[in-house]
Amino acid sequence: MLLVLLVSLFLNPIGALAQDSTSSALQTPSQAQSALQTADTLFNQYKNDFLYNRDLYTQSYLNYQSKVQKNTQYGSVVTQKEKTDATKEVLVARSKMLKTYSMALRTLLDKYKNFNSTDTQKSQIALSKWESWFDEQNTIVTALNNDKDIDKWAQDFVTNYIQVQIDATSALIQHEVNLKTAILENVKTLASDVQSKPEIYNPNQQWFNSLTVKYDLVTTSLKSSQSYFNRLKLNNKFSDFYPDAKADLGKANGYLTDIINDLKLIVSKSPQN
Amino acid sequence: MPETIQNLDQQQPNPLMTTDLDSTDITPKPKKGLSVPKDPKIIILGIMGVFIVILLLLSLIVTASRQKPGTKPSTDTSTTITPTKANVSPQPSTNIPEIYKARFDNLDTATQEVVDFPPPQVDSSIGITPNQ
Repeated sequence: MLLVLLVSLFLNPIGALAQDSTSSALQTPSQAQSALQTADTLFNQYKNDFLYNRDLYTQSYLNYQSKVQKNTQYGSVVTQKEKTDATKEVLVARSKMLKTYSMALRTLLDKYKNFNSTDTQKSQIALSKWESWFDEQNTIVTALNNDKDIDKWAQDFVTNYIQVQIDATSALIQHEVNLKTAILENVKTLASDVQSKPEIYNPNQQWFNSLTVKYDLVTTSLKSSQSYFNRLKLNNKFSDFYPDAKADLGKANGYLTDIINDLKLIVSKSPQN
Repeated sequence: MPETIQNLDQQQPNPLMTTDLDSTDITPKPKKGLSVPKDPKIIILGIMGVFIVILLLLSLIVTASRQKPGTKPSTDTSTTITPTKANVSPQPSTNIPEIYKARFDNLDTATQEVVDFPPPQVDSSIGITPNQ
């Protein structure tokens, strides 16, 4: 079993991280690797779909701007109708783009879901809810036929879009938290393997005590990055909290790098196996 | 018999002596045009001052050109999806046993994995009638 584990670690770096140390009894390394590759493939597919829809939205937006300008210039019945049609078209394109982004993000979350399954599932449920909502909005927009109704609909969209942005940003941060957690778990496993080797001299044992402190620092930084999720839900306006969360994620990454370098020094100073 | 002295009120110039009366004139005449200070330190200071002013103007021009607004729609067209590497300075090579080498390499790769997939920028004012 140990040999199979070591062989799988040699074969695929990301596959190695996908192993959940708590569920290793339930999932073989090959299953974890396969699940990760499936998540990668799905994500790439949805990502391409999103990029395609983003291009469509860009084209529709340019057309919409042109029609608005024309209607402002001429103000005829024909230009008014063209503007209304272009508005509906760009609104539908926008919702499709946002839906495909949400789907891609949801599959991205599957990659390291095992390391924070509860929080990740919450994010995925929220994203799924918005995907259905975007489909519903497209049905409504298609049926609108005057500027007054479009204006009312657009105002409602803006109100809901704040929560869409919060949930999407939270999901993105959750993915990175999951990745760092996966790294941390693998580091802990590696550290305990190294510590259990009889070749490690006693003077090195004190190094392992300092690792525990750094584990806590990583966990604290990751929790801090997640603390932004709920803080801004009470605001009426979306304030991008991704940069602040990224700073905490960067700290966590720094501590992880320090731990890995400490472990490298420990094993390199000990006799070879 | 005493000598008679000539009238000394009017002093006549000695015709035998060719002196330049202008050189004795001590009244300073105003010079025409800009007066250039002859002190080299002042000249150097003046040149440096002009240089600094030129640099300031250049920086203002560059800043203004960089802040010029674009004409593209408010969509994010520069979203990069491909993972990028974080700036992590590599540690010097150490004698890591073979049995651990692959695991450390995996961890190094993972710490450098950065997925750049931010939410797309959209114009949320589409369809909203501006207040007249």
